[in-house]
Amino acid sequence: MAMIDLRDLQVGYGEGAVLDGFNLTVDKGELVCLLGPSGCGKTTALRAVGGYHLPDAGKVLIDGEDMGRRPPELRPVATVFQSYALFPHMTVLDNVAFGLRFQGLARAERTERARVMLATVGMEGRENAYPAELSGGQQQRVAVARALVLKPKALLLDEPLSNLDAGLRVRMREEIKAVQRRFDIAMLFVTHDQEEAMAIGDRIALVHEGKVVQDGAPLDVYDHPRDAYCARFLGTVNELAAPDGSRVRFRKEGASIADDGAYAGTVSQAVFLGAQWEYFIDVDAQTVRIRTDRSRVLSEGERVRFDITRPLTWKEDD
Amino acid sequence: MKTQDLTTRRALIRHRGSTVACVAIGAATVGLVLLFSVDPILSLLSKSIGGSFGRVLANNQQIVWNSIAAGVATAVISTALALAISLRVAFSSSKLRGVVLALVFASIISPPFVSSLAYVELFGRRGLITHELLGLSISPYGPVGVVVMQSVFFCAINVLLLLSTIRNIDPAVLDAARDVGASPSQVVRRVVLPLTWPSVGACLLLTFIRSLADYGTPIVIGGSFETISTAIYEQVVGYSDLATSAVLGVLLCGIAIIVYAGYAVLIARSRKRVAGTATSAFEMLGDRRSAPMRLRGVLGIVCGIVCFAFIAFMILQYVTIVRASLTAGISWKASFTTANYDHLVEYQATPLARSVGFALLAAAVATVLGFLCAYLQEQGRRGRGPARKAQALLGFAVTMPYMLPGTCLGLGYILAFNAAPLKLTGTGVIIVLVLAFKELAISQQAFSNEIAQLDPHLEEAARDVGATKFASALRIAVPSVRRAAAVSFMNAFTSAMVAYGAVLFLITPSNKTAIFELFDALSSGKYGQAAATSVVIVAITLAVDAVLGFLFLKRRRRAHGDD
Repeated sequence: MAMIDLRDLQVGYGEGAVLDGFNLTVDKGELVCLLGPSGCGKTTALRAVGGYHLPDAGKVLIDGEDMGRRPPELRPVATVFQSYALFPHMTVLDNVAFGLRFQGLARAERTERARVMLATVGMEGRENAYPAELSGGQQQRVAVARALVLKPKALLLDEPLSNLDAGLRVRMREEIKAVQRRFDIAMLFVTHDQEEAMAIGDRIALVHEGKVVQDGAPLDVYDHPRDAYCARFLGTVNELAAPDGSRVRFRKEGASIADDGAYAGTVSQAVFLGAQWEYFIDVDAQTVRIRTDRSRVLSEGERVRFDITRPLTWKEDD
Repeated sequence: MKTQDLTTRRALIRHRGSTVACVAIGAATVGLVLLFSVDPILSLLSKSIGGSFGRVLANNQQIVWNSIAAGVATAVISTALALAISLRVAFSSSKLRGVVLALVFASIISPPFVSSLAYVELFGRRGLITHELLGLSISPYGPVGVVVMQSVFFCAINVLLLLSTIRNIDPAVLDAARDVGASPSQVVRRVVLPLTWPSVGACLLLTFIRSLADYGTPIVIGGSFETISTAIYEQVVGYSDLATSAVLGVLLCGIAIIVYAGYAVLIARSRKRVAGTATSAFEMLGDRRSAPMRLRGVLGIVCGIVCFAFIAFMILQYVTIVRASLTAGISWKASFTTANYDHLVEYQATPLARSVGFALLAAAVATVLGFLCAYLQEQGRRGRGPARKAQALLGFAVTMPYMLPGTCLGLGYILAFNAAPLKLTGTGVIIVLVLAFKELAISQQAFSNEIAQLDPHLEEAARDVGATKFASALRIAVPSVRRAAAVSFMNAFTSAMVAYGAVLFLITPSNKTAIFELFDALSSGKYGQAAATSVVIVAITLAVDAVLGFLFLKRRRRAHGDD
């Protein structure tokens, strides 16, 4: 059964609608990424689940229970905020133990549980530090611990990695994935980074103008986007006229250089990317971008032939 | 090749010229600060050495205790009220916030005597409420009246400080507390209050000092209740005993400096917990963010009652003053008259015009010097050891006149500038200067905040593309601090319009200002005229601030963050 079930959420109407018939489910043990550009409504959807933003219409069900107008403190979900939002006047331990106070636990019990949870996220030894003394990654771990210690039915994460630098971002997303597997919990993860979404999500829900426009496994959404918008949001789309006159679309890595290839063009620019080369190839009046490994190096101005090995098809064409 | 040489040489000359100009302006700024911020205080100190501390203290023991007792009581009451109001307002609709901020703003731009004036009208011997309504004929004069009126009057500025602290708590932190199960009341108790305590401490200290420095309220409604500030006034005006008043002034300054040191520690602690605290009323007015939660339960009710009582009292105060300005005498049946305004037009047009002129000049001086000081300090901060120390000293020198009670500063100005080579007493210049240097700290702070936010590479980029030091200051730094300039000008203008303590001893019959006339009218019982003058001062200040605010404080539209 769906742990989080959002049905026809509506926030604002008409021109000003932030959410407009927003539907989504997240199962137990599943990590779903809400992916979309700034202002698409993904954060508002997350805040509707947490209870910070009451929708004008529609339902938020958590573990089958309608949340109605319940305030955040009475909802069985926990949030990891973008800024982590650690309490600046409390130690790491007090931050994590804070929520247990409201579950009526005795002090000793609260401290013990907080310690165990901090050890789980690799923060043992920093219990008495204040948030300002921690690095971004450590603050992130404390924020996750503070949420998980309450044994929520679902964990909501609002762009939790956007304040970290590139290397740390990759490490922390692996940690989050590991935590999610370990606790077998439903997670709703908001991000605007498609690579992050594909790396971490069991499913990706693409959000556009207040609704989920496509929802599926990363591989499926990447290879079979619903439309041009979804296709472009996940990566570059090349488009050419096929020999039979129809249009054919493919991603950068969906073509390969072959001397007997069906398409011919001229290399207008060659870009070395380290592990790969990226070539801009002019085919008639259009330019396509193709990535290859380093086994075949082309130079600018060279005539080249290639095949489209993995064409991109729209979901509804299937 | 030849032209290349010529261009390079021209650039070099320009570069040298610019460096000379920068050094000259910097030195002039430092010189002015030394002369008008530091010298008066040194003069006060050296004069006080002439008086005997032991004797003066022994003679004025009761007065010192009076001041301290009234200060403590006022600080506690005023801060407690302000905390309740701030909590209510921080977690309310932006409409209520607008109303309270408007009243706070009105209070800040009002002459310090308006609450006393309203108090006399309402609760005086012939007060509208005590005498006319309740048939009492009690004397309201004494310590209780002083404490009550000071508490209400200083409440506004405390609301501003506390509200800005509470509003600057990261809303996500409050969300996070609720997320893990805290109810709104628990969030207030366990998160909001702990984060606000340092600011509450700061309010207590500031209010204590304000109460000690305020002498208008005790003079008008204190009756026989004397404080250090009223004693200084008496010693100067009544007995011309400058030595004794200097001793009392130094005593007051000493207390003020100790308290300010505590204040600085608390504010630093507050900034560690809560990012950024607004420096002025004018910045708070642009706050349109919605509240992260609503207050509920007993706490909500208590804070609500205090808040609405404050609103009611403030409105009552202003209605009373407007009414008093339009009636003859204190009575419910008093007839409508424009006599007070006629009198004002006839006899007080010149003092009013003089007030506005002095205030505009003082604001301009404070703004220009404030920018220069902030810029020098920023340069110093980026420099090496000695430059850093110098900038810290400059900062301290600029802050001194602001920290000191106005009467002490005024006393210092008389002592410093009453003889050649710089005899300024009796002129308008000294009034403009004291008003400007008193508010210089606020101007400098406003500019410093804005300059600190500028990308430090901006100036390097300007130099990189060939601008001289002078040109980069003029073309990069100056245009970027438009908002700070407006805040500085509005603050200095407003303070100058209503400042009384600082100019008390500097005003002579030939250069009387409106606030002086207001005090004269008030102390000779011409309440109607005092009310009319108050109304006009508030109206003028409001008009000038509104125009400046409209022109310069409109927030630049920023790209909207993620939904």
